[in-house]
Amino acid sequence: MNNQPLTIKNLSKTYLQAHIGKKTATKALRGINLKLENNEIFSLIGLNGSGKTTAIKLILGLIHPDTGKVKIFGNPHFSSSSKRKTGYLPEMPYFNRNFTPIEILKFWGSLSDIPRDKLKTRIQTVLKYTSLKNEEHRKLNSFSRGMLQRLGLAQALLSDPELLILDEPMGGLDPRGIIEIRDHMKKLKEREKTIFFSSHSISEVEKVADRVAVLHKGKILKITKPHSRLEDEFLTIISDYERNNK
Amino acid sequence: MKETISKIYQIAKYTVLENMKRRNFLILFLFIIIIMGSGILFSMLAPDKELRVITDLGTASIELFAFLTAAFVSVKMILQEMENRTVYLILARPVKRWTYITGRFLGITAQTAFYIIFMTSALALLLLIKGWSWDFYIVGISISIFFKVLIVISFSIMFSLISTSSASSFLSIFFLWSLGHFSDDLLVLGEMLTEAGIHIAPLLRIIYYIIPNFSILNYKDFYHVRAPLSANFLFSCGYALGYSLVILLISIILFDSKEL
Repeated sequence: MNNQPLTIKNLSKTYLQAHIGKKTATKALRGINLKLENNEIFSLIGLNGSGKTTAIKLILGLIHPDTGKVKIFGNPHFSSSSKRKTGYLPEMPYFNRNFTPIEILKFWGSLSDIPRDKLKTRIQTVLKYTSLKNEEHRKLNSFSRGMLQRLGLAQALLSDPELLILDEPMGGLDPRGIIEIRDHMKKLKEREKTIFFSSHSISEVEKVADRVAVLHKGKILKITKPHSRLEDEFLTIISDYERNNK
Repeated sequence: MKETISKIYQIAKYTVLENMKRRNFLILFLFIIIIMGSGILFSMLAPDKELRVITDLGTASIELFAFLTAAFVSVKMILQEMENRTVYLILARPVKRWTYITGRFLGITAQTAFYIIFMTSALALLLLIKGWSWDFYIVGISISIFFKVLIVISFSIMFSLISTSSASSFLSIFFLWSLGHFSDDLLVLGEMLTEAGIHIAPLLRIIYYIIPNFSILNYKDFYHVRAPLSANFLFSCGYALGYSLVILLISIILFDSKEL
């Protein structure tokens, strides 16, 4: 049995657009390869439009690849068994503001194959974990951006997944919110979870990731360990690529 | 299979709950105001035709309100979920795409059925207060309206998957709704044009068979002349059910290949 949390082989994606009879093709991903190890925090960094969100959408099966394969714990990424083991936090998660956290989580839980007798306990566990226990019956229209992000994390953790996929988890958060999310990521690693997240905040990546992949124009240019001069290295890698591919 | 049915049920239930929280049901109060207002107005203006006017206005209002809520809710809900990416959170879970579309369809259908039952009951109550004797035909009219709106729901879902704006989806539905009520006239138009030397009758016949024929479900216009409800009625309802299921199937196929 393949125990690799996430394996990506030769993944490519081209977006086709037609406008007044003229077709344009944009290559968003160009044959990327990745292997995540168990219990690591892996970050995908890149500039805006580098292909980070496309990669996450492909992993989740929201879009279809041109070529390549994605496997989660050895199973195809679109299979139910893979999805049961995966939790996902989108960038700026949106929830219907007329609901309360408990109502939202009950709904997500009912779609996550969590046995009915365990759902209540799981909801209480994730609410407690994300410090939303006292807000469980409060309508979301009075929630701050940081609280909504915590609720997003709560729904991602609901099925106690082994792999977490977070799309720009610190995007749009104030410093306190960023620290909270960073602490959650560290705690989740202690609980033997594997985390794959995208970011363009290199300083944050440095503080939390075990490995970093630099994605630029749909290509992974380098996979490295984070260090204090990661930002300089990132810029050098990109400018070298630009120079060599003029 | 049990899990899939449970997920369809949960999505349908959530759809109803979402709409209740958005207070879409307030439109029902507008309906009550209209029929009660017309009742008071016509009891003063034309007391001898009061029941007839209330029945006509009431059934027309049921159809209009059911159409508007079904089309608006279906288009808005699906498009909004794709725009704000809530759909990602559903599909990132072990939920098949067809399950999502079917759940949404059934949820909107259940809500529309409830609205029609509520409005019919309110109308029947007002008529009974005004001295009307119970007539089962009014239930038949409501059922025929429900099946018309069923087609509207399936088309609204399909258009919201193709289109990127709720305005264009809603306009397409409105156009289809209008055309579907005059589809028999397309055949007449084809004959007239043939006589005038314009040979597009075969094309109009194809369009006639493709677009939904709402006129065969138009029982509300025949309340006073009593079109028979029997075999034709069952055929019409079966036609609408089959038609909406085909459109739902097309929507599922479209959504399955859709890039989100």
